[in-house]
Amino acid sequence: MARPSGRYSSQSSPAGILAITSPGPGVRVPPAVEVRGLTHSYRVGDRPVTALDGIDLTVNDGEFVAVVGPSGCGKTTLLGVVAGLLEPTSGQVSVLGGSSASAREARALGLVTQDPGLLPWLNVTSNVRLTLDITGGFTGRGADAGERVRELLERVGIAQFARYFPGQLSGGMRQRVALARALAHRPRLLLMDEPFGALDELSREEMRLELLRVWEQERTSVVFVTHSIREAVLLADRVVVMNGRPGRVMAEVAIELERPRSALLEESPPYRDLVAQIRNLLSAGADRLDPLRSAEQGAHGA
Amino acid sequence: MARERLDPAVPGQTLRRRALRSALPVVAPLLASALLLAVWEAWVRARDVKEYLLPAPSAVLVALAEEPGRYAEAARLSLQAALGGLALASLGAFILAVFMAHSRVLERALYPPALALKVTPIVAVAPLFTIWFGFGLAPKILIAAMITFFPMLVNTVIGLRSVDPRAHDFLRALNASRWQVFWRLRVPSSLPYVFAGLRISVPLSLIGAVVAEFLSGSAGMGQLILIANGDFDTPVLFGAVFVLAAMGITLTATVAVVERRVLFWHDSSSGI
Repeated sequence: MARPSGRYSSQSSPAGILAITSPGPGVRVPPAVEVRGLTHSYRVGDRPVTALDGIDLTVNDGEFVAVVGPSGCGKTTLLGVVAGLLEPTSGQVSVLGGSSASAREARALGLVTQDPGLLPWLNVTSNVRLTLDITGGFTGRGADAGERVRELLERVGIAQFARYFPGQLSGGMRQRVALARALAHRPRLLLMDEPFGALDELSREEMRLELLRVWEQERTSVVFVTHSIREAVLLADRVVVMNGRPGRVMAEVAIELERPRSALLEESPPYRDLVAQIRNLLSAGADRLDPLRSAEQGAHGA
Repeated sequence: MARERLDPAVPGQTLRRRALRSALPVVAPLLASALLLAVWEAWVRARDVKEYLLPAPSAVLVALAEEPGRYAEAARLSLQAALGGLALASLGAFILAVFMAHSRVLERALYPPALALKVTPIVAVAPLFTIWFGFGLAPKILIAAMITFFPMLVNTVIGLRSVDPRAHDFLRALNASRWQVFWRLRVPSSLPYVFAGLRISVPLSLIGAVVAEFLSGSAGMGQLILIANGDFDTPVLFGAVFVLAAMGITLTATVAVVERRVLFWHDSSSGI
């Protein structure tokens, strides 16, 4: 898996950050994502709405970063800006050492969303194959592409459903396809927006562990947006806690739990402590944001 | 398609019941038509209605049986014009829809002329087309195209715009070109709407062909109706109506069958 890391080194980032992230002396790998002072606002009618306000975020190469926060805190907007689907209103966004657009042009991004938007007229194999056709990574080598697709389906555990269509699959299965499809061209940065948000609790558990397993093999950099604290702590190397209206980064929590991780981790005290810590941060943020809310919650017994 | 494989077996359902259920979509409309004809026949006989006012279905069938070749030839000519017009309209609508779906300015610019074409009465232009293009197939095709163009255009424009934003985002993140997005996402996404347009347009195309023949007097079902009208030969007139009804139903059913095959992935493909 040769990565063209040299391609980005000409536009490298400030040395201070690199000093922390460099995997070894003399090797300079830019962070996968570096966001400084990002603000994004849009208009609803005549009213400007600030979705993101002064966001700083760094995702190091090969790092799994989860972003948690309440609904409407701008998590999805943040991901959209990093993917280059939305333009920042102000601030700097660097992806893999260049712009979002250059990262896209280098076919270095993979995207998984809550509703994955699989193409319903293509079967599982063709949906995954589409990524390879679009990115052109395997043009003219049909056998190789077929091999890669089979390998991916095997890895995400849906090889036996290769010929099924998305409409015939459960939500969990569809997310497996979405993951395989997003990984097919070996992206350097995987952007995941509430990928398991629409799944029932059992499938959700299963998919978390599945993603953990797949990621520990592929080791691509990941930005994982979720509103599940447990999910964030189980998966990530670092959790970025946001609060909303406008979206700001409130805290960052390093998750120094050993890998490979398993479902057993959720029973361990350090895991529980981290979950509690982040939950407190989030509810503190909610109280600061709306002093009435805590009283109201008390009254409803929520 | 493969979808049926996943259907859970209904417990306790006997084979006979299943056979009945699968035959129902064919049997039910046949029964309804038969009932309608029976009531019609009974009413005409009971009230002794004059044949030149309203012939009984049996009299119409006799008229059909007397000269089947005449109807078949007329049907062939009308069908040719209808399908030719539909094909022309669909192609034109698709090309125009591509431009309109990509640009709001073009959509605004092109919508009024398209609407003007839609509201232009065929009766106004049909004689003109005959003067321009003669009594052959060409003016009939143009009339059928004119009447079917608008529904095809509107549906194709909506269809080309109705892409799943999530799928679109995914392709954009892969840096897919506009061309790739168009052929791999937009065109397939538009098909449910294109088929909805076809369901409307297929019967319309027959009407267009018949009206063109009726007005210009060129050979086909329209001419057959024109002559029968002039002769007060009401059974022949109804014979032509029966044949046209059969053509319309057959064409619509054909579209439905093709639709079900092409749109197996879409929710709408279950009904007619």
